[in-house]
Amino acid sequence: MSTVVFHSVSFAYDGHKRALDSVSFDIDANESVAIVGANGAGKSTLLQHTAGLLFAQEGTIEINGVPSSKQNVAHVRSNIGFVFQDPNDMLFMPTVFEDVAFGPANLGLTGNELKLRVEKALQQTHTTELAERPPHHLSGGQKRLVSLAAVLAMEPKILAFDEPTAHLDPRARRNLINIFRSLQQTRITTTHDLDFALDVCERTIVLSEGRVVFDGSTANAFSNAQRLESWGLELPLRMQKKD
Amino acid sequence: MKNISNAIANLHNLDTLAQKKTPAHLLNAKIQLLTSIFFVIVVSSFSRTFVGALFPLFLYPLAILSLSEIPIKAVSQRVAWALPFVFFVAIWNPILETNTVHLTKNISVSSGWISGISIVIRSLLATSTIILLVACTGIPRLTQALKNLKMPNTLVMLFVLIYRFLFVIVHEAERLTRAQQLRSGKNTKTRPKQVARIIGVLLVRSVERSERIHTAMTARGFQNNLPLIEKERPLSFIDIAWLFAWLTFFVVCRFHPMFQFLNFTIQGTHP
Ligand SMILES: Nc1ncnc2c1ncn2[C@@H]1O[C@H](COP(=O)(O)OP(=O)(O)OP(=O)(O)O)[C@@H](O)[C@H]1O
Ligand SMILES: [Mg+2]
Repeated sequence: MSTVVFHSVSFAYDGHKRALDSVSFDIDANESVAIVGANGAGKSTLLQHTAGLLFAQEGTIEINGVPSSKQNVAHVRSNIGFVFQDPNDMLFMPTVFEDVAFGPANLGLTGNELKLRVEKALQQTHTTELAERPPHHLSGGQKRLVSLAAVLAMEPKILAFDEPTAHLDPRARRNLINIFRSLQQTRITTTHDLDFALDVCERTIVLSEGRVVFDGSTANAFSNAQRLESWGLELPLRMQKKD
Repeated sequence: MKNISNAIANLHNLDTLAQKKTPAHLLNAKIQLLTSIFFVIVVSSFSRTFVGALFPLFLYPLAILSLSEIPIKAVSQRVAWALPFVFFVAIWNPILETNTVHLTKNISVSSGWISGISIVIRSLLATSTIILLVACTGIPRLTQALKNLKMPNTLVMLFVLIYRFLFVIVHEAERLTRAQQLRSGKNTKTRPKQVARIIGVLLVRSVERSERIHTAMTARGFQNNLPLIEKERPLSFIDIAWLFAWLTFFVVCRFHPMFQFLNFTIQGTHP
């Protein structure tokens, strides 16, 4: 069953040229899809459409069978967890525990149920030891994991990630890849880290100037260096020939 | 800028202090809020020439301080930050008020000194009490208490968002000043024109960032309520007794002749 359906979606920010131009695709339940493309290709814009933070100006978007619109925004947001590019935009409560609890508490959970939910999310992201720390004193990598926990605690059916590996050191990145692999939900990830895409996404959608120029298996997407270059991308490191 | 950002970072740390589980923290947040509000009202209702009668009131912040195990430095630092403003207000009194006050038969001073000192003491009382209130409840409990006391939701949200917004501004300001300092080389003086530019950029950035934060909050189901992780304890006998004991004490301090020593009568006519 398709969980995310884009049908000829176009969008332009006020007074600018189109950031999304007639974008169509559909994503099945439990798929993991990478959205790649050069800077300004429209990746973040696309992701914000899936999360009900922006709405299509032309075309339609369906999330779990319900059209995404201002009227249905509550439905969309309860289905999708959005992990922002900058974790500083997400974390603001006095402690990590409370920050992770913020989402599920908004969904109406209280008491023990809430506590279990938070503990589970902290465990999933290996951040249990951070629970009592104030989030603004964590390292960038730790903040990233906590912001992921904050979204997982809401148990959304679909997860949307904007540049999850940006600013991570190799070990933190490896850690994130492992966590990523353990997730069951439908995942949509924008990234410049094509190695990451190879590792955790079986499917890749390539955007160029707001248009879908490729949609297929990740291995296939990165198989042709010339074609990648025409999309403004470079071969993943592990596929580059050593001179 | 450094001082302001420190002060606000300190404010944030108050939230961390609020995690403690001392008797003072366990008091119902509504009770803590009400007692503090009454305290501030009583303190500000004293006549301007009262000095001595204010001293017994220090018992309240001191009691909270010892019950809550909050380090005295945590309070004094923040009070110290407010002091320059207080002095700025108080300093005009000796200049503008020139009636004579007899301290003893032979010593007399201008009434402005007395009212100036009174302002400083009252500010000390009020700021330390409010800081302790935040440190014993934390912003989420405090907002809930405000709401339970029928404060309009819009005002409560305004309070929460301003509190949140302060950190955003400071964070952006730090990043900007750091970037600016790193690139200004040996020229360590900041020119006024630069400052004006920086402030402009700062505002735009802060607004944009606040929008993103607000979006992130709504994406996590925020509906203008800060959720409470642990439910507030229902009012107990101790809460009620605490409130009434202190109210009685405040009223006695305010009106009982026993506490009227060291209050001065002013000679001459008021302008
Ligand atoms: N808030 C905005 N207002 C106006 N234009 C915007 C806004 N956000 C993005 N754009 C423009 O829309 C286009 C797509 O931007 P988007 O952020 O989606 O790109 P991206 O693929 O995420 O880029 P990056 O890899 O740099 O994150 C760009 O041309 C960008 O300048
Ligand atoms: Mg982007």
